Amino acid sequence: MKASELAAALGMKIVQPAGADEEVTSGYTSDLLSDVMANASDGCALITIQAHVNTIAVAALAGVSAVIICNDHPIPGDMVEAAEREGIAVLQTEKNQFTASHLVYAKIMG
Amino acid sequence: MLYRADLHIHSCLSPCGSLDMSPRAIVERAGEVGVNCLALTDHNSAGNCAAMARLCERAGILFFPGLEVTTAEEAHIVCLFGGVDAAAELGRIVREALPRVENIPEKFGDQALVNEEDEIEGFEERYLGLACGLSIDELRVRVAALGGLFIAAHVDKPRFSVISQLGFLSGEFSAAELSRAGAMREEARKLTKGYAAVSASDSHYLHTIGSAYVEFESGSADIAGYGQALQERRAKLVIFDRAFRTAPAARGEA
Repeated sequence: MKASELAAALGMKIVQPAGADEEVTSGYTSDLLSDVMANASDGCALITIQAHVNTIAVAALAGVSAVIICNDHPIPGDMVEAAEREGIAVLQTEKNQFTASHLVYAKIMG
Repeated sequence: MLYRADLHIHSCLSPCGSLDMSPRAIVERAGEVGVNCLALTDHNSAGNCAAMARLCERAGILFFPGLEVTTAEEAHIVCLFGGVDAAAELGRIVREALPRVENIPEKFGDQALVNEEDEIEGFEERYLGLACGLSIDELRVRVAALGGLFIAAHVDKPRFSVISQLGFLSGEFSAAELSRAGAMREEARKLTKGYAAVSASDSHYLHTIGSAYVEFESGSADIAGYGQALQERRAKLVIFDRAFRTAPAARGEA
């Protein structure tokens, strides 16, 4: 499923649309970037509250397709710019990581 | 002697540091703004400290070589040393503990190793922007063995601080650092309770050097003198607002 379709289906806001046509094939939920680096799989949606530019650096290295920011954490401009450069869509939701993970799992794996 | 010490600065070796931040440019700028004590604290590396030490010596600036280490908890710790060898040794330990991920210069920036003459001598190939495998407690032991100071970086920031990662500050730290913005907020200052509070510019660009620093008196021109000032809570925070551009002395503020 494309990141844009996932956002539409789950009512998540697309904060940064570049790369929203990328396929999301799995999910990974973590707030520790070193863990994301080590364990996130290629093509996953990263579900996290880490709304800052380093998240995009790590997402790019790990091959993450889209980043979903939970709890409506404010997303800084430099993060949006970096994500645009990298072509990694950034989604935002008011839901927490637990709920967002469940919803993404149900959509992609269900 | 009264020291004006800006002790958290990144050079062009840090992936996020401006390429203008050569050791030579940093030392020149420090001189212009009246900072007479500097530390170089690149992310997870002390690779530009030797060049910086020689430049500081020539300029009559007291220099503490250091690193800003990202621990396994993704907390930033500023580690300062009395000599380049100790900083380089911690650099080796940290590099060994970093994930073996190559830097991608076009994505994350060059990690340039620069000499005193502003010449690029090479590039650090391992990406320095990631967390190393050492925990805060493991790092503390290594830094203590090398005689260094162990400072919790920008504890008021919502990310990469001991407080953002672990919830609160506990255990031994030589000091708790406030960001320049945090040092201006009473609420943030409370976070350093029980520790010596310091602040620094955390410069990634030349124009912010000296925008926050600590003032301390010391009879000895070495890191022991600074360590003692911290223990005795004699380091005074000096913070400038966003308009900071010119030397405090030139503006008659210091």
